[in-house]
Amino acid sequence: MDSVVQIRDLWVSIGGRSILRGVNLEIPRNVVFAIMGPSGSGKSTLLRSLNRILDLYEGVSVKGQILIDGVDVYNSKTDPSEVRRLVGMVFQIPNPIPNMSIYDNVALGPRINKLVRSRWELDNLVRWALEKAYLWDEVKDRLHLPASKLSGGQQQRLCIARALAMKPKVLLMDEPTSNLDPVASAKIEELIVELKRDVTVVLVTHNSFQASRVSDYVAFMYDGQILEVGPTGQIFTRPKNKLTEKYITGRFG
Amino acid sequence: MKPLMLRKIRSLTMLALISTAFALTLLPVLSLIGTVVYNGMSVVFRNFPGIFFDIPAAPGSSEVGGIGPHLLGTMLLVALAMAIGTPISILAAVFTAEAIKSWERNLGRLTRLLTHMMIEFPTIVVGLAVYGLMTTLAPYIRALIPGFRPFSLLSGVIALIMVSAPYMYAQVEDGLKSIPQHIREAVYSLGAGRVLTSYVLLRYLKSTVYAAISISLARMISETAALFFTAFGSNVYPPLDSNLLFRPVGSLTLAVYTLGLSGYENWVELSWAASFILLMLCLALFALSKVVIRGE
Repeated sequence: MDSVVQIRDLWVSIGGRSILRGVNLEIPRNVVFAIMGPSGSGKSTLLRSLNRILDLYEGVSVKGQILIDGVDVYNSKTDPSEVRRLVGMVFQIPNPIPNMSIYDNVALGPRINKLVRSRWELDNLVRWALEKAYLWDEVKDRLHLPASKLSGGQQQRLCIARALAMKPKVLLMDEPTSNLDPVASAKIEELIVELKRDVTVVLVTHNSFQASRVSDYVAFMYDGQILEVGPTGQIFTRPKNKLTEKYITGRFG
Repeated sequence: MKPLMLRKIRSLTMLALISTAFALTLLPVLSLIGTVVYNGMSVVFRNFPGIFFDIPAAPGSSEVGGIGPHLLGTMLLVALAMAIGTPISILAAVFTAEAIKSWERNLGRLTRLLTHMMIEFPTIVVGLAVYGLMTTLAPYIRALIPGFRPFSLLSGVIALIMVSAPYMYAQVEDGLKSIPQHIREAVYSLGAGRVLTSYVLLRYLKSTVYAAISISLARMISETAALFFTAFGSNVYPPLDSNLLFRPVGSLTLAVYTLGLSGYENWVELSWAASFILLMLCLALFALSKVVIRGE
């Protein structure tokens, strides 16, 4: 199997408290890969270890290996910015830069990474990303308005467009619908399924129903470890682990 | 008495109290602006435009002259202090707020502690300290620059930076600290390094940065005590040569003080004119900073 992300025996502790305890995971290319589990199980930490956003926190220690598209993420010779270029991220709270225009928010990644050589190329890339995020038709006449003028759901799709404009190999999504209303959430879920044609989506969710709706593969995390992983259909119909079964039937989490 | 009546009386009493408090707050502000405008504006207009260029006339003469050297001195002091102080303050704020490694965080905490302490220093003591430092260093500096004197434009600039930079630092640092962590992470997650991320965050904060700069500017223009022992003051134009930095200069604030206390009627008039120009400059900066913040 062609895996875009390989995680080998990953141990993470923050401030002396161990959060991830020996995680092994292979994520295939161009799928939606959901990581579900109760709060505090380490889902977000696992996601943040993939693009080294964890580096920004105090007292973090990481052991083990992560390979993303062949790049050894935690190798001392690897530049974290190089990793983050391969990996887009969408956060729990829609976080466009509020006083920056819609256009500039999407253009931020290409500009930072010098992906384009002309204004024309940038215009095309911004349009492509906004179309991919199903936002173009809603904003094409007001690209120069500040991003704060958009609704919550639109802001989240703007963040998806912003991440896509970098042309990442992997898109990390950290509970991207948990701050949105059901209609906006449904739109994002629809979008997630479409996105796997262009990128591999790693979706963290505490909502097992969402995982069952959108993902091809699912991993169940509990207390810093992956208890069970497999194709979504199989995990949701024939879970091997008692805790997984309890979780997907909504008896805890 | 009927309850309705009682309520009306109570309401009227409160209204009277609040109006009085409002008037009492407004009174000193208006009387200050009024006095300065009344005494200063006519001097400025009667002697226009010489007031901005001439040197003070001989004490006791019927001529007034001007405060040209003091205006130039203030411009030199403030321009140099801003040019050096602004990048230092902003870089220090970025370093403190965007620290990642633990030694950076600790150094940042120490920087913040010390600068917050510096904000509380009496500015006259800052001036004295700079004078002391310059006097101690003078023999060594003279080896390189023979004309150097501890009372100089250079000392004045250092004193102004020490008085004003901590404020600018604190404002920009507070601004950066107030940015939600998820916005910062968003910029990092797009592959920006720390320098680029800080640049994006400062652009996001641009109204705070502009406000910090204009408030610093106003503080520097109106600073007096820190200049007594440093810029020292002068009623004549400094020769504009390579030794400009190492000679005493005047300033508008020092002019208000020294000319005002001189006892000569024509110099007292100049003191009022200097006060008027100072006040107008500060009000203009205040208005500008409000406009900039509203524009965001």
